[in-house]
Amino acid sequence: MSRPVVIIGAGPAGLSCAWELASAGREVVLIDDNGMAGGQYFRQLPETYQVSRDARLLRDKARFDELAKVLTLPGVRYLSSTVVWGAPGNKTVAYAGPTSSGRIEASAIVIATGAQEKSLPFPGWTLPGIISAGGCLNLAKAHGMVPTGRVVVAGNGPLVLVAAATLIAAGAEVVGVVEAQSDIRLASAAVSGLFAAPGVLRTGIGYRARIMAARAGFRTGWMVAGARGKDRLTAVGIAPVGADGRPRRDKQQWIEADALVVGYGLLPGTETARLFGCRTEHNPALNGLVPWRDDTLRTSEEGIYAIGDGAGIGGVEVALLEGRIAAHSIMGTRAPASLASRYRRLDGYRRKLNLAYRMPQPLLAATDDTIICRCEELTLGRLLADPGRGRNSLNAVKTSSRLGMGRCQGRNCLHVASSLLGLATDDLTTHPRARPPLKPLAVGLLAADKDAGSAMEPDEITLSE
Amino acid sequence: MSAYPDSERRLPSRAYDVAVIGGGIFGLFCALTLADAGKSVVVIDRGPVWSEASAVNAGSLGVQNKLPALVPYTLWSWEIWETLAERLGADIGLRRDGGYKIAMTEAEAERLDAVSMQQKALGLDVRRLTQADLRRTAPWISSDCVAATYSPQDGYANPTLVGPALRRAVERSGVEILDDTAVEEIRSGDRLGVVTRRGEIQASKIAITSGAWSGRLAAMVGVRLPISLDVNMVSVTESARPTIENIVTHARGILTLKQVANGSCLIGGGWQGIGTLENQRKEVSYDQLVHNLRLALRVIPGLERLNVVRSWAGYEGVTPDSLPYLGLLPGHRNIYCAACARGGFTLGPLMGQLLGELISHGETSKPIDIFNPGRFAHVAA
Repeated sequence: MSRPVVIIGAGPAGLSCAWELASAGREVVLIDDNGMAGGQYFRQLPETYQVSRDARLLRDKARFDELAKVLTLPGVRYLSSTVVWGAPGNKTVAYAGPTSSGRIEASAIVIATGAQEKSLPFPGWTLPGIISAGGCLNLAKAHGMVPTGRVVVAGNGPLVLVAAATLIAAGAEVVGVVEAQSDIRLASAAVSGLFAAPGVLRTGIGYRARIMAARAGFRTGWMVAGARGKDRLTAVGIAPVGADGRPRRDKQQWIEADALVVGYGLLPGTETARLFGCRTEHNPALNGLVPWRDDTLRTSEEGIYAIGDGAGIGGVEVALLEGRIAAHSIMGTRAPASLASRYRRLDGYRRKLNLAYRMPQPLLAATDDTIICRCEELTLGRLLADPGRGRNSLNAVKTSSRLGMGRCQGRNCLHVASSLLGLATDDLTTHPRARPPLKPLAVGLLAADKDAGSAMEPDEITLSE
Repeated sequence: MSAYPDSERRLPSRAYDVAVIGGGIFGLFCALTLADAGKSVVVIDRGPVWSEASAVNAGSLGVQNKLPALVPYTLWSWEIWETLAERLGADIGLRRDGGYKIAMTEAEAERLDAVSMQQKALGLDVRRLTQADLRRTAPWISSDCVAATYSPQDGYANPTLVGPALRRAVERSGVEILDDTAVEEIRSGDRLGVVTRRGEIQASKIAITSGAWSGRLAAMVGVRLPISLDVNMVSVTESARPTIENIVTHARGILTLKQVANGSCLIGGGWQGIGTLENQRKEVSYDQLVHNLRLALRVIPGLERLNVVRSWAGYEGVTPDSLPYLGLLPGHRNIYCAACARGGFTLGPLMGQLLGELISHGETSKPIDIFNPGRFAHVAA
C-alpha cells in the first residue's frame, strides 16, 4: 500500500491541495485541530444554527461548500478535532484526537497550519473588553456574535479594515478605526499601482466606504497607547505613531469605549515546520520567521512542503493557489500555465501589500509595568532587568525568567518580547526550540497513541548493594 | 563571530587559586564554598552556567528514591536546602511536604517493604501505608496502587528559580563566571592551566564539576573516569487546581510526579530520550514519552484531561555504581572532581560544598572515601 500525503490544516491552502491530489487519484489524509474544516477565512456557522441567509457574514459560504466537497471524495481521510503533535520520524506525523491517536508515515507532508496574530502589549491590554481582530472575526463568523456598546478597532494591516467592516455589517456600533500606517504611505502604495490586484484595491475602498458611512472616526498614523477601566474597558487611549514606533503619549487622546478590537498583523506559525527540521528565515516585511521554500513550495526538507499563511502572509487567494501548486510539485506533474502566471501575479501583490503596511519601526506600546508574558505574568520591567538579556538570546531570557514557558508556549509573547528587549529576531540559534507536543494536548490523548513502539523501562537503580 | 558579545570579552589576565570547570549545581556550590574560604575562583562553562542537568531536571528533592549509601548524604544536603532561600535572599520554590512512593504490583510492594526497612535503619522517616491509609490521605492516587510508603522528608525546589539566585550569590561573593568558554585543553603538572577557546586561564588548583562531560575533561589529564549517558525526559502540564500535594515516586524508580507552585504537573521518571554528547542534541523519544505518560495516568487517573504543554530531554552522567565521583583525580595532587550523582539536584549542594572544603582545607566535614574518583581506574575498559 502506498503512503498517503498528509496535509496538516484544512483551511483554504490545505483543502485546495487536497482537491488537486485527490482528483488525481492520490491518497490524502487531512488533519485539522478545529471541529469544522475551513480554517479562519472560511469559518462557518455551525450547521445546527438557524440563520437567515444574511448576505455579508455568509458571503463565501458557497465557495466553501464547493471546496469542502473534497472531504467526501474517495481516497481522502479527514481527521477533525485532531492535533498533529510531533514528528516521530522522517516524514512521519504523530496525531491525537477524540477518535484516534497514532502515527502516519507519509509520502509527503504539507504544512498548511495558517498564521497567528501578533500581540501588541500596551498598558491595560489585559482588561476584559479587549479582544484580537482574529478572535473577533471568529466569533462573528462562527457564532454571529459581535461586541456590544461602543467599539474601537485598532491595528496595522488589512485585517483592521476587514474587522471594522465586518462588525459594522453585523450591526456593531464602531466609533473609531485606528490604523498605524500613515495615509501617505498607503496612498502612495495605491497610486503606484501596487494595489491594482483584481479586487484588492476595490475591496479596500469598499471597506473604507462602509466605515465612513457608519460615521466611525478613521485615523491613520495613530496607534493604541493604553486602555482604561476598573473591572472592564471604559476608554481607549490613542496617540500618533512616533518615529521610534512608539505612541507619542504627549498627544494621547481618550475615546470612551466598551470594546477594543486589536489587530497588529499576522505572523506565520512556524512551530510545525521547525519541529520537522525545516529551515526558517527572517522575512523583513513581516519582521518575523517564515519557512524557507523553493519555487515548488518545498521546504529545506525532502518531501515536506509549506503553503498558505503559515508560510508567508498572502491571504485566501494565494493560499488556494499554493495548495494546487504544491500538489503538482508532489505529484511531479506540471501545473497549468495559467495557474503559475496567476500565482506569480498574486504573489507579487501580496509582497507589495505586506510592504505597504510595513511600519518603518516595529510598533511598541508597552511600559515597564505592562505584562508581556500573560501565562507567567512577567512585566516588561522584569524582563528588561533579566540577566539573560546580557547574552542577546531569547532562549537565555526564557530560561532565566520563564518567559513563554506557560500554556501558550511563547506563541503570544516571544515575538514581541524580542523586539521590546532589542534582541536579534533573525538569529535562530538564540530562539527556543520547537518541542512536542506542538499544541497543549491532554495526557489521555497522548497516552492513547496506538502506534507507539514498545516500552523500554528505565534502568532501575540498584537499591540493594 | 559569536552571537554573544559578552563571550568575546578578553579573558582576565590574573591567576586564580581555583578554576572550576562546569557551572552546574556542583560547580556553583563548590565556588561559593571556596569564595567563603577566601579563595579567588573562576567558574568556566562551555555554555551559559546552569543550562544542562541542573536546569532541566524536574526538581525533586527526594529522599526515598536514593541509594541506601546516599541516604545520609541526602539528609545532609537537605540541611543546606532548608536554609538556602534565606542564604540566597531569593524564593527558590522550596517545599517539603512529603512524598509517596508507590507500588502497582505485589512484587513491587515486596520491594518497597525491603527498601523501606533499609531506609528506616539509616534514619529516614518512612512509613508503610495500607491501601486504606492511602485512600484517605491521597485519594488522587489510583486504587490500582497496591502499596505505598510515605516520607515527610521528600520535597521539591524549582530549578529555574534556584539557578539565577545561586548565580547572583556566587557573583556577589567575588567569583568570576565565564559563560560560553569551552575548555580545549588542561595543562597539568606544577603550573596548571586551562586552555579555552578564549585563551588560557592560570590556576593553582582545578575542580572538574562538569557532570556528564567530566569524563572528557579527566581524559585531558590522562585519567579514565567512566561515565555513561542517560537522556532523561520530563513533561510539564498546564496549570491545574492544586490537587497533588506531595511528590510521587515509584517502587522501581520509573516515575516521578509532582504538582508545583504554579499548578503545573511535572512528569518524569528516567524514561529515555535520544541523544549523544557528540551531537549535542537531546530529542524526545516519542515512544518512551507515550509510555511515561501511560504510567503516570495509571498512577494518577485524574491527569487524563490535563494538557501537556511541553516535553524535553536532558543529559545525566551516570557512574558504573551510580555513586558520585568526589575527590582528587588519581595520579594528581591539584586536580579534583565532583560529578554524576544519581539524584544530583538533591545532592548537589552538599557535593559542591564537600569539594570546596577538600580543596581549601584538605579535608571534608563528611566522609568521601566511597566517592573516590579512582575507584574504577584499574577496571578494564
